[in-house]
Amino acid sequence: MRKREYLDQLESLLADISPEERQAAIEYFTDYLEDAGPDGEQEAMEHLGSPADVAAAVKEGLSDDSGAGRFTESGYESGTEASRYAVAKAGRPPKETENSGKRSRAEAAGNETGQNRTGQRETGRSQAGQSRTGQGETGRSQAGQSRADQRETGRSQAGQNRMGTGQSGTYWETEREYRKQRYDRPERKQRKSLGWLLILIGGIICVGIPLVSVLGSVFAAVVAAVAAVGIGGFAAALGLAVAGVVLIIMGIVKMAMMPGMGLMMMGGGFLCFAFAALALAAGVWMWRTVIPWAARTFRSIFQRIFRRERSRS
Amino acid sequence: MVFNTGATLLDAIVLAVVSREPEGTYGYRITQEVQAVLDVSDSTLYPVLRRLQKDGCLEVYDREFGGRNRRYYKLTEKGVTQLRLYQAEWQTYSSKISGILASGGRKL
Repeated sequence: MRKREYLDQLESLLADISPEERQAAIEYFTDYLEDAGPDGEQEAMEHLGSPADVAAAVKEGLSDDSGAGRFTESGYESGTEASRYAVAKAGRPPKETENSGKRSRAEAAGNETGQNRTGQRETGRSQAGQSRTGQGETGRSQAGQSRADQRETGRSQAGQNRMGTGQSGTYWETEREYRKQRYDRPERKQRKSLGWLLILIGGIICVGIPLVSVLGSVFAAVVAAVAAVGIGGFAAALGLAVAGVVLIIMGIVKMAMMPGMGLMMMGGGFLCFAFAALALAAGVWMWRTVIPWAARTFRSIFQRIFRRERSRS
Repeated sequence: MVFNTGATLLDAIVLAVVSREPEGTYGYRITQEVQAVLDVSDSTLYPVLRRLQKDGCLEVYDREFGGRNRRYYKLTEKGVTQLRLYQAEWQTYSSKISGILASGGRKL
């Protein structure tokens, strides 16, 4: 039976998870295929993908739950997680939302009716200064319409939110508790540093990885070039020496019939020897001087970096 | 679909779908209903259901159906609370996004 086969395969692929989880998954997918009916069974299996796909999905779901949360995963995913987290946290009890929504819409409408923008902004700013409730700020930023202002809105909303939580909407509390136990995450105070951590991670990924890879490839290219010159020097020396020997021998042979030609060839041969010696010297210099020097320089650069880091910490 | 559906939104959708049946509903049907509105693969929903169950938002029970036991999912009290929160959040979020997208269209 095709279905039995599918489920057996899935079960063996899930051999490395806990028996409880395996049981739950197998039950679910058995149910699933049963519910698809004898006619829809084949199609349902196609839709599910291979047993390996399903097993991967099951395991991925499990790794999500493992205590430390998704921050342990790669930066990108934790970024997603953070926005998810932030969205859920930045919310506030719905009543308040409606109010401030109406208010800001009214402010924005006021702005549209005339008055130049700068004037409006100043009014807003002074309002904010006087009242300090954060709502004035909301109005201003809505009127200002610049991105920086938008950010202000968020901040002032967060301010309201803090107040709102104090007044305590009941499910808001439960939500917080829920989030806490679900992700085992620190509370509001540490959220800022969490944000910075994410920015840092993002920065490292956006700047660090390209930088490191570029530096790495430049380094590799330099190493290759140095090695090539080193090896090339010896090869050239060898080639020139062989050419020199050949020319001298040919010169001696020609000497008997055409003395002029023979002498020229011998001269060329000695010239080749001279160049061979030069190439040999270059190769030797490369290996004995340039490469050790480069190695020393790199080492001292790294040492300096590490020392700086150590002193920083 | 050009917009991707995050895990939270998927949670919310699943909770909403399950909540439509006071008696609870089962995996295959949940998948069908979610897929009616959202392009998710069939195996995506199992981890979601399992997680919601572990979090205490969903409870399961077996009911006899056609000579076998079928597993039903039902919202717990916590699940109801969670869904309500998601609904409120979504209201705020979607109206803001709709607002900005609509106004952007108008200005062009």
